[in-house]
Amino acid sequence: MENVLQTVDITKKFAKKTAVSSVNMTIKKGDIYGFIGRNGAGKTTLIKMLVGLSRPTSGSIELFGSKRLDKARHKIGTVIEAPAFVPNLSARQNMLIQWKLLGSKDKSIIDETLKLVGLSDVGRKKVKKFSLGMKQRLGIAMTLMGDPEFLILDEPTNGLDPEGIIEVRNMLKRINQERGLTILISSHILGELSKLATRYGIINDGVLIDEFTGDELETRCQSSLIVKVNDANRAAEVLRSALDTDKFAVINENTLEVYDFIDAPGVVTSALAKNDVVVDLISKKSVDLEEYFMKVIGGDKNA
Amino acid sequence: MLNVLKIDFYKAFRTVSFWVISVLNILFVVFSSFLMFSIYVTALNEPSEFSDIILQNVLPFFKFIPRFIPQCTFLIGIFAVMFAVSEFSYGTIKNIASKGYRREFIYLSKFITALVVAIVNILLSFATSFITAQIMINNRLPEFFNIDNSFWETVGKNSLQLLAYLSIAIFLAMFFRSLGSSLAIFLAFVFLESSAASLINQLFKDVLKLEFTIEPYTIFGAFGDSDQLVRGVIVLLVYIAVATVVGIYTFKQRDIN
Repeated sequence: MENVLQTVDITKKFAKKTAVSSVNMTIKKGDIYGFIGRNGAGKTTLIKMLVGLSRPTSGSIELFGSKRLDKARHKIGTVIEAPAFVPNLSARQNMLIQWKLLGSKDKSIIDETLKLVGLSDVGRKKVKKFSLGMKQRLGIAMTLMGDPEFLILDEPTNGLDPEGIIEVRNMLKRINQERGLTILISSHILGELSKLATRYGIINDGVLIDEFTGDELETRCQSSLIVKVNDANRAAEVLRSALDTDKFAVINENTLEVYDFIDAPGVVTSALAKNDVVVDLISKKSVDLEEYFMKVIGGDKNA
Repeated sequence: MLNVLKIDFYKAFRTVSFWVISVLNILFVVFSSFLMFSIYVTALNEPSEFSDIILQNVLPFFKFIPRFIPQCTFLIGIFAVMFAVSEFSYGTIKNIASKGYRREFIYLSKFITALVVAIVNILLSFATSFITAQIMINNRLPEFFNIDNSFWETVGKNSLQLLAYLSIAIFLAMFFRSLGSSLAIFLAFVFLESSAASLINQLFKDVLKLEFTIEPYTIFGAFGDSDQLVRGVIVLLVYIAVATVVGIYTFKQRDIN
């Protein structure tokens, strides 16, 4: 599949700190790329280099297979850190500025896009009087103007209420599916990100430490069965002999964690019961993106 | 470049600062014109010994109005600084830069927009003064409204000086990116330039024992010597070129946060 973005050893050094170190990132057409990292990990610095707000110290960027970035960036819609507007103007006037900037011909896209994000009825209200959520919606509307092929969104759901978060998620999913739009999205709400992203990249201390697909994440976040029994050691013997598996761990004298037969817990229950092991409880345990992220970066700091 | 220029025009004419400086400018012109023309009107209405002297030394309209160009420099400079800095304070510069527009275009667009606002304000000053003169004097002073030969030359010189100040204003705004420091330095430059020149002259004289004057190489004093018109033009063009080239270079090199 065609690459929308490819970075080769992209590095950004400030006076005393390397904010981004030799990042090789690839985003393919149609991907929803979840970009994860703690505060100060280098997410925004990398995004700024991608959109041309910051110059890389070394390395190269290719957008849509081209190194002519100025032209390619015209096909990108971005919201970085916070959406930016002229506060004394209305939503429509701000959209008009973006429309002029894009050099579009069809003015009707302004109203269509405002309708898409639910801001068609705000009239002449100045943006400075908007709530945080309304500003966020307007920011997304501005990125969607002019049919971009690649959206780069830095914390797009900041300030949105739960309903707004769901709306934005559904909207992004829809435009990804309908228009084949590629999206790079960084968010601290990892649960939310996991409902949207098809590929992920984890950055820590400026280094892209992991890149994986949604399917790979599922495998990596492999589930397990927590089995509470009257005798864990006896249950372990039964699992070995009757089910021919050693994919389990004895947690304590009454609890085991079984990594096999996750989709068939009845097999485990039945084998244990047949061998006089009393099963008090059997439940499924799974690791989500948040836990996986914490495991990968090796800490309990905020994402 | 044209798209950036279009949005800069759109924004500039919708800013509160544009309307405030335009209104202040008009008020200032009305006030100055009224004061000036009142003297002539009084002399016309109440003939006396003094009125004869006044009427013999009437400053024709087209010699009078080019004076408004340097007088509105500081207002237009303030607008230029506020307009350019607002892109950074609102963060809207990110919307433009991330669309792949070249930094030099973004910079030049601010400069051209400030220049257009300056032209609009100069024309407003001229029109306001003309209307005031028509109301107060009308045809009562012979040859008062005749265009003087030096009118265009004076307008040209004053406009070039205004352009040089504007290039400094835009440079400061795009370099410091904050209203307080950019405005403070710009105003200090405009108002203290002549004092600084005198001080430097004094230093040359006292310390280096040189009879050298720096005034011809300042913006305000570039046309001090009417025989050195070309030198004055070159000096101002150097100011404009240096401020713009250094401004574009630093703007290109630095990140946008």
